[in-house]
Amino acid sequence: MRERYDSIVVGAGAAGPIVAARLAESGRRVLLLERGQHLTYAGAGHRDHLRNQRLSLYGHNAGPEIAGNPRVIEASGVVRTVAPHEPGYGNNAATVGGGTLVYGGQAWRYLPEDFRMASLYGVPAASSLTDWPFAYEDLAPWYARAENELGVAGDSAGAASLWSRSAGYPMPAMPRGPAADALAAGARRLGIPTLAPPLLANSMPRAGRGACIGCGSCVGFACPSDAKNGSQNTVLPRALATGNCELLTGAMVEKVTADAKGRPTGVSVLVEAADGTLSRHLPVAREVVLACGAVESARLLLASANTQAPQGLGNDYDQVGRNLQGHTSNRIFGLFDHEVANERGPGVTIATTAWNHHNSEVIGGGMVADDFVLLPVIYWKQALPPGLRRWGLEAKEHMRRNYRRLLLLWAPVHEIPSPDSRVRLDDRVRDRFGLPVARISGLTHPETLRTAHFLFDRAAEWMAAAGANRVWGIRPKATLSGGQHQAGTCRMGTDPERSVTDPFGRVWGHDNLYVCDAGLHPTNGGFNPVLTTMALAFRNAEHIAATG
Amino acid sequence: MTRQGPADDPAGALLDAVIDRIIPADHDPGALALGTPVYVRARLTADPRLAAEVAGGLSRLSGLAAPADLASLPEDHRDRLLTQVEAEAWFVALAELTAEGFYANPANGGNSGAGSWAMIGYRHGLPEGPDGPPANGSGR
Repeated sequence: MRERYDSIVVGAGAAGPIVAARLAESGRRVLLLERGQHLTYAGAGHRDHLRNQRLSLYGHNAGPEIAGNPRVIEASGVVRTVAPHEPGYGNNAATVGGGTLVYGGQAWRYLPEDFRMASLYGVPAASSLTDWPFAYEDLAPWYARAENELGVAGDSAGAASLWSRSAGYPMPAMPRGPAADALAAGARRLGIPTLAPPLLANSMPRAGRGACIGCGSCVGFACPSDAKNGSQNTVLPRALATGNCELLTGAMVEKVTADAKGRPTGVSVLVEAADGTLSRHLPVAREVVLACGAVESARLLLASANTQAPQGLGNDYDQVGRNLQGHTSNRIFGLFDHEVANERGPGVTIATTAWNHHNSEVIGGGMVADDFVLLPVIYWKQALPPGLRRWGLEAKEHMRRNYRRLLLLWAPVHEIPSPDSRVRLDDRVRDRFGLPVARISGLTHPETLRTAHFLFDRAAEWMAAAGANRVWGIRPKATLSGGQHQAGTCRMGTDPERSVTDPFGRVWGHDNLYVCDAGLHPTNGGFNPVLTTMALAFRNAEHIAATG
Repeated sequence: MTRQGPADDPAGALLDAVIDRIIPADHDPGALALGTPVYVRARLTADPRLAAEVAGGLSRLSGLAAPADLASLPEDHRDRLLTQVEAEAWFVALAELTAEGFYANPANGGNSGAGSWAMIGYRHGLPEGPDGPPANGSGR
């Protein structure tokens, strides 16, 4: 590590390597810091069905280590300390590539309406619902960059009917399976449009890597054919190839450092050697970009308090960490009298956006799609019908007969943000470095639940129309905010009193400090958010490169 | 798999006899044939509190069977006794451990030869076999 860089980017997840690549290509010397390790399929692709990022009963597989990385959660008055694999923690994976190493890679653009929620629906009581500070059309070219530079396989004709787009997807959609046939027939009966969900994966050889081999275990695991496109195998190699970007793993940033006037100067980072010894480094830079995910970037801003900013950086108006969102999601199961499950491929093959907006009774909505291939143990844990005896021949016969006869629809809703859903520093619990950990609190907004229940009923109707002879699911209840697809804690805006950054992610009050991750999303769409996070990273990196 | 006989480990035989009925054999192998007790014992060793709960439950179950030895009772008789305890927390937990071992990847020790996957029709599609590459990542 040098003493001086032009730019320091903290976090090598979905967004950090995109920013690092653009800044390195602009000629800057870039230090990219990642607290996790550089995991590969050969070294970390083991399929432990009980310890992975999709089902983490006894552990997980992409960091952070279970010991020494707690968080504190506060729900309904109960305060608990939780480990990274436990419910409520909202683990996003800590590794090079972050969640993109182990995700399913659904690559949705948000709809134009998603950028204008407050204008379209008003602001519900006790919510912080807001418009984005710019429109879909402003982000559209950057969505295209993300789709092309990471690699998205999608249904160009279907997408063209929903989004104003300059071009189709760079690769055709993944092959369909029997699930899409059944659900397409159901959609025709209901008169709703469908399309194949776009995926950040190679449906054909591209960029020197092969096509998807259809192992059926995308979510939670690294890809056996390196066909899944994350930041670690696309933009990161590009950043490193410039010769201007230095990636350091096992590097835990303690705080953003500042000079006597409070201006950010770099970071204080603890680097762990192979033998476990820690050393503290204080690299300086002209600009610092935090790309640690919605929970950790907010935590780091708060943990970087100094005499000029005693409440934390960018937190003069108590906005940092608020508006934590995720995706309250419906899961609807349907049993068929014939085999309908997709056996191979990623598994997600058909979706509808019929209920994302313009529903007469509720605010917003969300997309509905079939799900990734269900691992048998996940099927056992989550997909047995209510009332089935969970032991004996009856349960065994159910698994044998119905594993291939079940479809699952997954339906995330565009959450209504609440200022009371937030990330703070816990005042007691410390991690293994002695740093204060994130404390997460706040429950699902009632309007989110109302929309979720509306969407549940629509998805159940679709399942029945597809021919399921038994349909059931679990209606979401109010739970701790955040979790999967966490976002919103460092929202972009035009008013420093009601946002954390300007519309390019620059932290209010600082001309050289940026946030670049899903924390920026003012609202989180009714879709998987990662392509939006990536598009923002391309857009904001260009802005930093031009003006920073 | 290692299955201890009643003579050297009465409690072990009792546990096996219960696991045998949680996922019984029929024309497809059940939990005993796939070695699931090995998985269950490993989990109980890792969770002493649960192990004590299960031991207590098994002991009460023995009482229900007395004076007969539960492990030597016919299957339908064992099932009737288990039905009496099926709502008890220890039994619910034991049934869940048995099933998760039985349906998880073989390297977890309870699904020998991926036998349960063959039964239900799950095909893993991995070049290295059902468990993928041997090494695990961080975070265990």
